[in-house]
Amino acid sequence: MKVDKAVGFIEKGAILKTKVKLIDPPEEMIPLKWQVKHKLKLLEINGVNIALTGLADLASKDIRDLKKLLKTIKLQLNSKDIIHNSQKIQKGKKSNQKKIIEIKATRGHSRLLAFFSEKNEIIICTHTYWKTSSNKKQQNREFDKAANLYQQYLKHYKKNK
Amino acid sequence: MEKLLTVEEEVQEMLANSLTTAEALKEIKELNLPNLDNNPEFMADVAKGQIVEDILVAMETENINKSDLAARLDKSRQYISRVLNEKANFTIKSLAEIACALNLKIEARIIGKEEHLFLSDAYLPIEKGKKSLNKIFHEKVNHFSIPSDNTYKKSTGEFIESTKRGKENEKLKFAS
Repeated sequence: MKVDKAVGFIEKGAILKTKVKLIDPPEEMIPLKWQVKHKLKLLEINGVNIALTGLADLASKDIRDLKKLLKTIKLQLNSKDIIHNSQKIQKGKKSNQKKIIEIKATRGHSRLLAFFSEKNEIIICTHTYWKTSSNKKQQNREFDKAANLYQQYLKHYKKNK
Repeated sequence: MEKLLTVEEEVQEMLANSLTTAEALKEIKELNLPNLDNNPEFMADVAKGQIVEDILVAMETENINKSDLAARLDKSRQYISRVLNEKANFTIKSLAEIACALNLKIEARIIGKEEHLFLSDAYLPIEKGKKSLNKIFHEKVNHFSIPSDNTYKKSTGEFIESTKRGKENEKLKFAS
């Protein structure tokens, strides 16, 4: 069977299904004991994990920026609500981005996009990106990508409810 | 000219260029990441971030801005900005000053790595029409406190309210 990572399992040109899973973060990066008020999961689509790939890439290329990002993650996991500090967490502004949050590395360039689960108990990470410019165009685009991945999760969630 | 991709196409491209979960986990394991819970710098940064978050929440609850807080502390607005940008060096005294200015207190503890301090929701902004957990707690405590004209029945451990208004005696259980 030919496997296309992007669109799912393809056989004779037909898309069979899209498998969506939530994966625990690696213990050496985000330990379970940090997850006090919220749990953190990484979105896997057809076996591919964009968020985990991004975190692995960041860990190999810029450990300092990863630490800054992990600091914000730890703070958010310890907090009951979305943290108020806009230097650390940014909420989506457009109607399709309302559920999306951006976890920022304070005075860093790495960003992690995520959304909250139905009951707001789990933070589900979609992907990471490296902020290159100060304008909002790139950020807006990344929020849209996260919203697209959120929709894929939602479709799967509703189907399996 | 390069064709601009749609959001959907970009997501598909991201999926096509990403690793599987197993591959990414293996890569992370091979990096031998340091244990951040043993890193004092990281620990201090997280604590600083938590303090700034507490200040921001308290400012929102008190409905004050940076200038108001600066005035309460008799400091410059720039100092408050430095504090909120995590650029100021905190001392226990400066923390206590900020806490007092915000009608709060500080609880600095050194605890075991597996332990957690759970703060009451009284520190969170209260939604309109809702009571804070702190208020609910105090109401419950007051409910169970002994009114002066009540009698305590030692055999059952119950308080029997005296009937001033001629109603039937109402038994209040001390603990449900």
